[in-house]
Amino acid sequence: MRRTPAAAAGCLLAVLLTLLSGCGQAPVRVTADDFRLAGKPHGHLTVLEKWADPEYAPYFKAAAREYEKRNPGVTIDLQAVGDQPYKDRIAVLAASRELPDIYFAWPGRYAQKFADGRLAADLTGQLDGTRWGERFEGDALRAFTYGGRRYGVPLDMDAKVFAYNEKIFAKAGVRRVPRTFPELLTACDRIKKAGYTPLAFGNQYGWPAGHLLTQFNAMEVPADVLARDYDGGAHAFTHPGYVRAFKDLARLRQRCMPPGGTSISHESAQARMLYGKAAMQYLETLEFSYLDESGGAPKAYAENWDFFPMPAIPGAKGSPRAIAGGVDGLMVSNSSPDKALAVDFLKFLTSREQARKMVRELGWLSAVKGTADAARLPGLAGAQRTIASHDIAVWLDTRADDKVVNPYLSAADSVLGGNATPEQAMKTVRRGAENARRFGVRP
Amino acid sequence: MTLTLGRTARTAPEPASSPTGRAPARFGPVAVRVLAYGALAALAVAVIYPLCWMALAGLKTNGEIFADPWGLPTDPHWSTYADAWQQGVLGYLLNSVLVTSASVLAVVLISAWAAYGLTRLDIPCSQPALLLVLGAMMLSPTVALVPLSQLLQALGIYDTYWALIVLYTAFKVPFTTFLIRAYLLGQPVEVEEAAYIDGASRWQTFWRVVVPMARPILASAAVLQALFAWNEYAFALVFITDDRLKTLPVGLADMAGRLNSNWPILFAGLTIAALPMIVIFLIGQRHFVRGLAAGIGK
Amino acid sequence: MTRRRIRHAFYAAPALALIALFVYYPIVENVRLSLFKFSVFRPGMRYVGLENYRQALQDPVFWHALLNNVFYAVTSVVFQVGAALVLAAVLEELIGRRLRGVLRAVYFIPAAVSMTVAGLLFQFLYQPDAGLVNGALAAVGLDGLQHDWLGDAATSIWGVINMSQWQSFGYTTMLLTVAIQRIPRELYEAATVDGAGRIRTFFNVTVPMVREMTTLLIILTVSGAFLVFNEVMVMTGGGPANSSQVLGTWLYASAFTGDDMGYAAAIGTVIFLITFAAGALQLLHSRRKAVAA
Repeated sequence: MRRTPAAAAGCLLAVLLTLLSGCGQAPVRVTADDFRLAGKPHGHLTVLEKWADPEYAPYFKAAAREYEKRNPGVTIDLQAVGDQPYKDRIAVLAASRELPDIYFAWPGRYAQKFADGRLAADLTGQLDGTRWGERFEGDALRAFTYGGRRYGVPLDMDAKVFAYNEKIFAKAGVRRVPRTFPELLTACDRIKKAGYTPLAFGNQYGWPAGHLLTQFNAMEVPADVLARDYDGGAHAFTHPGYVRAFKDLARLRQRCMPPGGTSISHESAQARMLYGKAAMQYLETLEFSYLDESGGAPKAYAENWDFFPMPAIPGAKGSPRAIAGGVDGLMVSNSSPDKALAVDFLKFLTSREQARKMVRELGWLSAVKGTADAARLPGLAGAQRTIASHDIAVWLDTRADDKVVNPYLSAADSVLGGNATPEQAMKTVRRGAENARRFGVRP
Repeated sequence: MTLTLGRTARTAPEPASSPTGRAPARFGPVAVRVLAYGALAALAVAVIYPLCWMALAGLKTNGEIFADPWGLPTDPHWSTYADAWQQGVLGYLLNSVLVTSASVLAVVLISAWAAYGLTRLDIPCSQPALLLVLGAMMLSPTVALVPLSQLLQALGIYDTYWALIVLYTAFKVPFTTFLIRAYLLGQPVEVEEAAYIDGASRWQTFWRVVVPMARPILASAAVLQALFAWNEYAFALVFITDDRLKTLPVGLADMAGRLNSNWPILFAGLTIAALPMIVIFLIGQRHFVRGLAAGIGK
Repeated sequence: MTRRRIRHAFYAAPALALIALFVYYPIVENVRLSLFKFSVFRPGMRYVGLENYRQALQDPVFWHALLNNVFYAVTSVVFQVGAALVLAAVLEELIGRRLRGVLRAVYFIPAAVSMTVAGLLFQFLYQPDAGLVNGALAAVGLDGLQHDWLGDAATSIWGVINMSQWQSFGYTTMLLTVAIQRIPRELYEAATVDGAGRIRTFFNVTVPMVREMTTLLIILTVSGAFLVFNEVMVMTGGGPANSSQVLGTWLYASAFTGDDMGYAAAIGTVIFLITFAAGALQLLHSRRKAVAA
């Protein structure tokens, strides 16, 4: 006990300085773009996706096992995590440059980050003008195209529609499916009068409102303006259509959704529709399996439902044929030691046979052509027609810049909660976009 | 300079045995006492009712929970608890047990060594070393999530049990060392010296004399560390992504997301997760309280 | 002799190494990283000086989160120190020894339950339709107060704060009981002889005599309130409309959802400075006490 404070400080400083060896972002180790298999498939693949839901997980596990069985020399380590954990995990793996060989991607700027950062393999040569590429619906393939290059393999296609209980519609005297937005609102009034909640809505995690806005924005704002703004252009989000979109949301909130908060989860809200308390829910075609008895819906609902897309909005300046939706895809890591094997597995996963199996077992729409007739679920064929006759507007929360998404969803929350007018909401969004430009991460 | 941090922790008495035999009846009119009893009882109900409700909700059906949230389960579904167990609670529980016990062991050992070295032995740079250890108590590395995740990746232990064990240990070594050091300072050195003179090495003295002598404070430190490691969430969320390695706090939150709105299974799972710590607390209450009294510096 | 001293140093070495690597280094590195802009997806870092801090000044969510932390701290001090002290005193003064132990244990139980469990449970209790909170309000005729507690931007953070009080007050009550038991009996007897009532005795004897413990608890509670993360993530994730965001969750969202690692590091530095100040106060406090003793 005879040292002085100065010596103490000196010791401390010395330790800290030696530790201060700054380590920045490591460069990506890009492996050769060799997509030809040398002989029979052989080796080890790591796959990370986000279908951890007990309804979906078994299909993907079985597919991996099937591929292993056909190719004895191949082992696949397939891991599934939930949506949010996936986002966190893939970010960290990207940072450490230790991406799995194959990983999940949402379309829009979400996947673009991987393409721009050279973290995803360029699959243009594999997908353009090849037999593999011709298997896919054109829209689906375009979802992962950046600067004319293709980076993702589409797996399923998804769109947002109103599912409704026919019996409640009949009881409320709603004779036909609404064809315009005002008709939808009038139908809501009637349903409310008949003692039901018109539209079940649970916005606990923010994206349900984001999906509605995806739809409204696409209908209210011209496509080129929208694309520029979502991509982070200057003076973004000034088109009057954006305020109109928030007004549409506010009207839907006021006349169709139950009074009180919207903090319940989307699934809890769905239960309200399935058990006959609510007439409609705005949901993804991927969720159709939950509306079937095999997915746990009560018979009274399962036998009496149908769906319709968002009806046209009079006076809107955007694309009337837009439908909020998306394409789920898989990407190949640019540092994968065996890109050929990864591609071969993806070819297997998107073979017609396997895709039909997915349509049959999961009740999803495949991105592979000529598979819709494999559906067991009622409604899927109709969903396929709907998607085919509409233009998919990719989910706002994966389409737009990260920095814009949080203010956008937060502004939507405020409008739903009655804490902001559509004009104020748009101001929040514009400020977010402005911040994104000023404090953007771009190195 | 001398650090006199030890004061607050050293004199922790054992409340259960403390002689506070104040005769309650001596005070005040009956009305006051009735009022106090009523208020305290109401508070106890408010505290305990939600937990009992949670355990019972695990026996209900989803319909029952929504239709009659206050009612007792009409036909208890014990199978729900089994389902919850299968939903991964078992795995999370085992992970928590592993990470907690490893970090408890590590933190107590490493801190006891450090405390011993810093109080009893002649070490170069000992005063700065002490400052370094105790100063760390004021720092909260949870705020450094970004560099920590880079560091763990550089060390190759990101997404392994080691990430949590090492962090939980490192994070709590300063406080635990402080606690043990304060205790040792209050203990006589003579026994150790006697052992040392009798030919025992420092190492043997540590194990045969110091550890048994410090057993009460080591137990308290272990209890506090267990409570911390069992409940830690931020590190477990950011540094573990493999579902097979997740500990209870994060695993349960994930499970809640996965189950969508199957509330009975969730409540059954939560009850299973909560029970061990409640039982351990009720059994080891005395020790627990002493540990807390010692651990106010947290 | 030196060789023995070096050998002795091995006792402290593991502790020092761990602390240096996992406590000091990350915090210093965090300050350095807060001067850069970088993305996990792209290589390279851009030095921006204090830009991230300027960004924080102009970020309404940052200020809102900071305010929520302050609400958190103030409420926690009121309930977990103020009310808990009254409770501890009442337990000691009015309740028989056996019952006192039982009540103390009961009050403590929530603290043995993890925040995740408590958070998920309360998330349901706050549900607008089937939740017990609204049910209880209806039962006592306060239907008017029924509310979507976590879904309304005006009340979401309070829903979380209330849960946290429920979870933690038993812990501090327990500690304060221990402190009260350390007060020499003679002081109370003297107060009684002087004819002081119960309330005056509380303020004249109990409060000053446990001041050491209450000061410590205030500091701990305040710095704990600025590190809040778990309960907010589990119950609201910061929503709706960022209304329940606290600094910890905003850091997390900025880093992993917003992919703005430098900004996240800057938020981390702000939290660090606040909690460090609280910690330094604690050190000063115990130092002063040591001098006084």
